[in-house]
Amino acid sequence: MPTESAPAIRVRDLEKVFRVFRRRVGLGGAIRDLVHRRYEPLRAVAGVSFEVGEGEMVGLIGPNGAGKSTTLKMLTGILVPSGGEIESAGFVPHRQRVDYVRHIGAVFGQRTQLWWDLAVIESFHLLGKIYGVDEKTLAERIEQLDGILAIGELLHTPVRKLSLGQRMRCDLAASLLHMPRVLFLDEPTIGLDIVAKDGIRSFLRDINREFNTTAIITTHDLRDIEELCERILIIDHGSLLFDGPLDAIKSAHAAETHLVLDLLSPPTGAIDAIGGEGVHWEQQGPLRYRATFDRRAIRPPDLARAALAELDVADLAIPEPSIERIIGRIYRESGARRGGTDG
Amino acid sequence: MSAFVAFVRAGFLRLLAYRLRYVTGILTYTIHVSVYYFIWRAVFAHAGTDATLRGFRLEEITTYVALGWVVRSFHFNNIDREIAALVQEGHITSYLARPVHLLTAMTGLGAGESLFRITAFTGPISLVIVGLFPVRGPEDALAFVLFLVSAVLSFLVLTYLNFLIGLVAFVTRSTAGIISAKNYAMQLLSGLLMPLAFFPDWLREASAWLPFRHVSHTPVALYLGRFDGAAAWQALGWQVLWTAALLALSVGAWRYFARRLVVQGG
Repeated sequence: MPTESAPAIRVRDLEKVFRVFRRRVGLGGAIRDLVHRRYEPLRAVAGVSFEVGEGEMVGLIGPNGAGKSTTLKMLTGILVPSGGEIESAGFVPHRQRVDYVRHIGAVFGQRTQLWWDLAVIESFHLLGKIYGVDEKTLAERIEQLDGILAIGELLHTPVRKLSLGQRMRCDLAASLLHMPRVLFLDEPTIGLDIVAKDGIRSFLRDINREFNTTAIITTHDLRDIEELCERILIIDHGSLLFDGPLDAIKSAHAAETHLVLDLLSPPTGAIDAIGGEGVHWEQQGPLRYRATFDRRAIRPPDLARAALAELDVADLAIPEPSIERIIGRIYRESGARRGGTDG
Repeated sequence: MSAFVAFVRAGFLRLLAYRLRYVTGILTYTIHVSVYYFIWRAVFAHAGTDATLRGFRLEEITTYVALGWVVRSFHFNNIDREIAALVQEGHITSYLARPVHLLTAMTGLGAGESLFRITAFTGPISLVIVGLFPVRGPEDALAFVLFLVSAVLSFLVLTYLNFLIGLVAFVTRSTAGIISAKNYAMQLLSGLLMPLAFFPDWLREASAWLPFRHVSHTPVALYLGRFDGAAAWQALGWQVLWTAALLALSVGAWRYFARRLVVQGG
């Protein structure tokens, strides 16, 4: 269990402030910009703390511009933090970058880490030399990775001729040739079709199970998280909004359980009375009604029984709260809170 | 070291896809040399065919120009543009997240490119030039050896200069102007367009304090035996010093910029 061993990654009060050039408006402004540039600080990451256990796979999610990628780049040692501390795999990434990066793997889904004009196998050999993996071990690992990722027939193709899904499989393989202890995956399934996504996910599960690789994954596709991560970190406006198991997010939002009814005939009485206090009804179609209630206060079967007794019901459903909706709401609430305080 | 060799190999291999590019290269280089040859022939026709201008006879000046282009066919690379593109498109992260120095990688890729160019480009263009223009041989065997050493050093001087110019992308988003300014400055101040001897005094003296002459002038002048005795070793010594200085500057500049990186495109 992650909690029993020392954490692989420890982040405390992490901050990153960028200086952003603020343009003035209009031609006069543009001319004044030439003489004197105004800069404003932008806190992309504003005091984030978390830990990731050895062998844990954690999802890092948040809306665009939330600070995910900035956080990931500080974790890989590429960006220097403005404040706070990071320790990963026993290193302080930005201070010991050159030694540290030997022990990590990074995949940035939007851009390949391979050499465009080289055949995949040549990129792999080059990486083997960079990481000091001897040729025998490298050949074994390539074979092993071929077994899970089926990249065998791509090895002699130049990277520029690969499709996005093929390229991503090769990029993933490339990030694992040196058996990193920690893997950073920035949108590893972006732009892929469903079959390719499934392949990548099952591969990551295999790697995690087989080598106990610790991984942090950022993504906009929450299916990635649901299938790979037991724990998620939600970040927005540079701050951590949530850190915990995926299930906890679902149950924390049990306050918005829905019961959806399709009726055969319009209700005869006042539908609002059904279920009593704490149930909010709304009409969603000519004969479709939806109740919103807190499942911790009202048991769904009780409400269903009450509805069946009062109404002429054709169909009934209690949709599983979609993680996408829940997280969408968390983002919006965070945005609204921020809007309120910042004016 | 083995990572450097691996990059040399990669630099060589990735050009295989573009080998046809050098067929057009042979044509354009031949045109360049022709233009300068005919200009100088016209100058000498005016001055007298046996005239000596600033210590050059027509045959020597033809060799100076032609050999400059031959050396260029060997050492040329675009790592300035390559680094600028890496920074602008954010691919620089692939180097930062890996245990390899960007200078090792880029010098290796450049050296691999030069190895490829020797076979695919320098060989053929030399044959064409020797066949078409009255080019003379080296002054003596020592001059030829010094020329070869100096030509290899010219690759390093050029590569480190390109590396430094590429890093400018960390400061400004628009590097195209800076890169072409460097290219023009280098063509002029290296002696590729015109022997340094023909410069006005102030410019010739200024060029002595700049690294550009070691990209073209030094190897070519060594070949022609234009230095007396110890002066040849002195010229080579200056080239070695500039190579070391630019190497140190490249390492320092990379250390500085790697720490203040802002990755483009999130």
